[in-house]
Amino acid sequence: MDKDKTDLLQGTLDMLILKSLQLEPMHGFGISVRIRQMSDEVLQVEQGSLYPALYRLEDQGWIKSEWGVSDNNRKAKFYSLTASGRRQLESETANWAKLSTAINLVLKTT
Amino acid sequence: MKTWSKLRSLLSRNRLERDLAAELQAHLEMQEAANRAAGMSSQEAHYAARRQFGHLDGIKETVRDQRRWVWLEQLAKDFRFAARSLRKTPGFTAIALLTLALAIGVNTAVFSIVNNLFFQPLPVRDPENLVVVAAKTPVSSLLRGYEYPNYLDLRAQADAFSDLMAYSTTPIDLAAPGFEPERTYAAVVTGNFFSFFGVQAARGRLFLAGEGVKIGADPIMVLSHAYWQQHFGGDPSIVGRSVNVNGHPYTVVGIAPATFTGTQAGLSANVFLPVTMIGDLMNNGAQLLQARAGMPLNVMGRLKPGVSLGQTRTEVGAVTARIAKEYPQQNVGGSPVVVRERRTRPDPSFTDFMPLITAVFMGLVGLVLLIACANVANLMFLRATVRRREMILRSALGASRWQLCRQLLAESFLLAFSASTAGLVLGYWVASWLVRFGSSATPVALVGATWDWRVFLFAAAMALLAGSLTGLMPALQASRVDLQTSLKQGGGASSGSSRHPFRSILVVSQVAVSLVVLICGGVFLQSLRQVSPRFLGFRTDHLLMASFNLGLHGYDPDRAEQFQQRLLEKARALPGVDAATLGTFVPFALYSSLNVAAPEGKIIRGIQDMTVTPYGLVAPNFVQALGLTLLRGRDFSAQDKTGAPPVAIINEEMAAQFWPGQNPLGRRCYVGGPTAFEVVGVVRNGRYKMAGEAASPFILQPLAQFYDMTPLTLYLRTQGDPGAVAPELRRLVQDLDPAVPLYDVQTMDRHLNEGLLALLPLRAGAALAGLQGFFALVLVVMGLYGVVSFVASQRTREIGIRLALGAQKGDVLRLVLGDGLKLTLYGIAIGTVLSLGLSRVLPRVLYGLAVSSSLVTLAAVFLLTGIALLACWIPARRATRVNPVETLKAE
Repeated sequence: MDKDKTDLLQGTLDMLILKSLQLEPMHGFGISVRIRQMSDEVLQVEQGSLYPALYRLEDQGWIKSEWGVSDNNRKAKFYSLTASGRRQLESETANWAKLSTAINLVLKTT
Repeated sequence: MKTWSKLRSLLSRNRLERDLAAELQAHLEMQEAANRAAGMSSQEAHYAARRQFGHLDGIKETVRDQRRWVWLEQLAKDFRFAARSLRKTPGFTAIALLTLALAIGVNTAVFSIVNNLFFQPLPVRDPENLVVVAAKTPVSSLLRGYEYPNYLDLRAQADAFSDLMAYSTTPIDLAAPGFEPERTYAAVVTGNFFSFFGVQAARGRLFLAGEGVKIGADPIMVLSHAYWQQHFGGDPSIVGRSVNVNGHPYTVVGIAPATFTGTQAGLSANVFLPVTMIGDLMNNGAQLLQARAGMPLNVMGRLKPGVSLGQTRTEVGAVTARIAKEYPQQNVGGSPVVVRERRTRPDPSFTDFMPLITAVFMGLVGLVLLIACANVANLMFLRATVRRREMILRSALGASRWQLCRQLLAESFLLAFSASTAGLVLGYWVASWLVRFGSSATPVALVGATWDWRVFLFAAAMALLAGSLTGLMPALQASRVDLQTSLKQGGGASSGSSRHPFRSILVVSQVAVSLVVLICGGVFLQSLRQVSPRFLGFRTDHLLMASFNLGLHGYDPDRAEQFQQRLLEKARALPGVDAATLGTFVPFALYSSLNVAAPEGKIIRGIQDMTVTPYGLVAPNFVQALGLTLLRGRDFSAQDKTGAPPVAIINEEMAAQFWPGQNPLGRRCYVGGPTAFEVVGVVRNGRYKMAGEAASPFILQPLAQFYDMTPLTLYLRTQGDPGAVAPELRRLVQDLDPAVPLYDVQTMDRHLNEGLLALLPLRAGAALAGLQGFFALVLVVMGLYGVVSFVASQRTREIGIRLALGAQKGDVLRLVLGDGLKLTLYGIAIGTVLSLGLSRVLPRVLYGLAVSSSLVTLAAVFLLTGIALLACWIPARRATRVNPVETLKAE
């Protein structure tokens, strides 16, 4: 809802979504829970950002979707990584590592 | 695959929407369940989930808008909406469509011809290597070719070319047993012509190596495929047969392929003959082949690979310099010009002008498109202002200016593209009409029209241009909605036409242009009405004319005279023929014969002391048969022959110039030579070279006293339809000499109506100006009506108040009419000034026609004012019916 925050998070949000789908297909709710858990409750994904991002990623062909049944027998749409999505995740992870190392370096230098 | 699935998702939009809704719903429910599991009551859990989730529709909208094809969908929506709103105003749509379709149609038609002329490669081997070799001389601005001997030297010495070829065009009389003899155009070509182009025979063979080299040795010909079909009905047995060319036997050796139409895109050759046979085809032909400064041939070359145009130019220059040095007294001079074949169409000698001519012509038709666009733009303005309330409403509901603009632009582009489609169909039709216009009797058969991707691209570009020209300004203006004031004023009030200067300018210029066009049309019409036998100087009705050329057939004067005598006798004996005569003179012919004359006794130092005059050599009874009015003296008779005193008949103008105020009969004058001719008759002035020429002198001499081998025209005055006599006349000439064809067989009325120098310009001018004038009037009416009714509707409130305060209906009427009339008067003032300039130009075309352009101007002004009044009257009347109570209540 906070527009600045969404914009800021856009690139990273895509990466987080891809990462959360790395192990198994998941539905939207699952993804938001997974991101929260993985980040020790630090990162809260707004639904207002999550779904547009999901559709965008699907549009780009990095993830694909399929209707299925959830753990508690509910009908839900499951997203999974495609081959190009996997490649994208790898390159984004590498980029992120480089970037954060660089930023850390800068911050450590006094 | 991906694109495909996106497209499909676009098409099944509803499914996608349902999907998204279900997914979000599932998410909500999961969140709710999670909340319950965390210990909330079910109601609490429900609301908490909603809260956490945020704005459901907002999410949906974001998802929708970020889809990649959304712009396409919006575009489609814009166009669907545009189509719907255009359908709602069928009158406007029809007029706008028609206007644009006409303009685009004419443009595409012209372009399809330009396309054929300039963009199509010749259908021969390696057309891109072909160049035209010519010389630019200080004498003329037209390019000049090379004489046969010079060409031979060039071919032998210039190494830059893999080969060179030369050709020219000449009229011939062609007769074959069993077929009607015909005058047609032949390409006389060097022997290597066909091998140069890499063309193979469709039937028989083409010229062999060694043919067309020795002068006078090869009486052979190749027919073009089209001519073979047309004239010989595709008869295959013609190959190998002997036919008669200007009285000489030639053997048809083969037929050229259908795709090969000749050397130049614009030139259609029917028959190909070796240039070495030119002695049979032209007087002095054999000498011409020897002369180094005589008849130039068009020369074409094939560049060797890797050789530049500049190199070839240098080389041609070196060879011609050598020739000039060797034959100094026979040298024409000039600097060499080597140009790619494609740039030399339709004729090499015009190379320097063609781009300019084409540009001017395209510019003229482009102007048609601009005028049409201006008109449609004005209509769009009108439409946009009528829809102002709609714009304000949409704007108030959150539509951005860009969205409003896009909507209006969609309409104009939809219009333009539909019009362009219709224009393509129309243009195809116009082009085929234009192409047919070039008759087969001229050497330059006016090309063809080629419809390929270039034309479609052109039409699309026209549509884009028309769409933006007609749409942009109105859309920008109409979408400039100032919500604050508009809503406050309840519909956007403004007063006067000052708020829309652009539209007012359009209307004023329309009035001005239509006045000029109306005056033009009026002048043309008035002058056409004045064209009468009295004005032209001879009786035009019931007159058949037919030409033949004995000079091409090697007749000596005695044989020719015999032929003429028998022809006249037999023609006079034809049923339904009142009179028959012969003459070299044809009124308004494309090539008129002129001579110089001077009265006896005048000191002649040079040509400047002589009078240039149209003249004719004619058979006895010419004056009577053509219906010239004899004012004094007599007609020629059979007694005026060789050995008898040389005589002449002149017209009033010449009499007035040579012997002012005196009786010219019995006086003597020189005509083109030292012999003095005695004037035996004076005829009334007429028109000779052009229908719209100034009074000109004219002189006739007896054919029998002054025979030369020029073409003759036979005139028959008939009782009934002159065209009906034509077949019998043809038979008659066939009996006299089967090799001599009659050409230009037509009635004088047709010759006048379709003659380029006769009435065709007047008729075309009147028709065009009339048509344009009509359109202009319609547009003026619509423009004025639009402006006035718009302004009146804007001032409804003001009018209501005025009426409530006691204004009379007449006051209101005057108020509203005043707006429109002001624009009309401005337009008329500008138009009158413009037409003053016109009246300086028009008399040159219409000289001698007592056209009073001031009368025409007056009439046009009255017509225009009347129509303008009418166009303003209707909205003004409506304004007077404003009910003050209702108007004021509505506030």
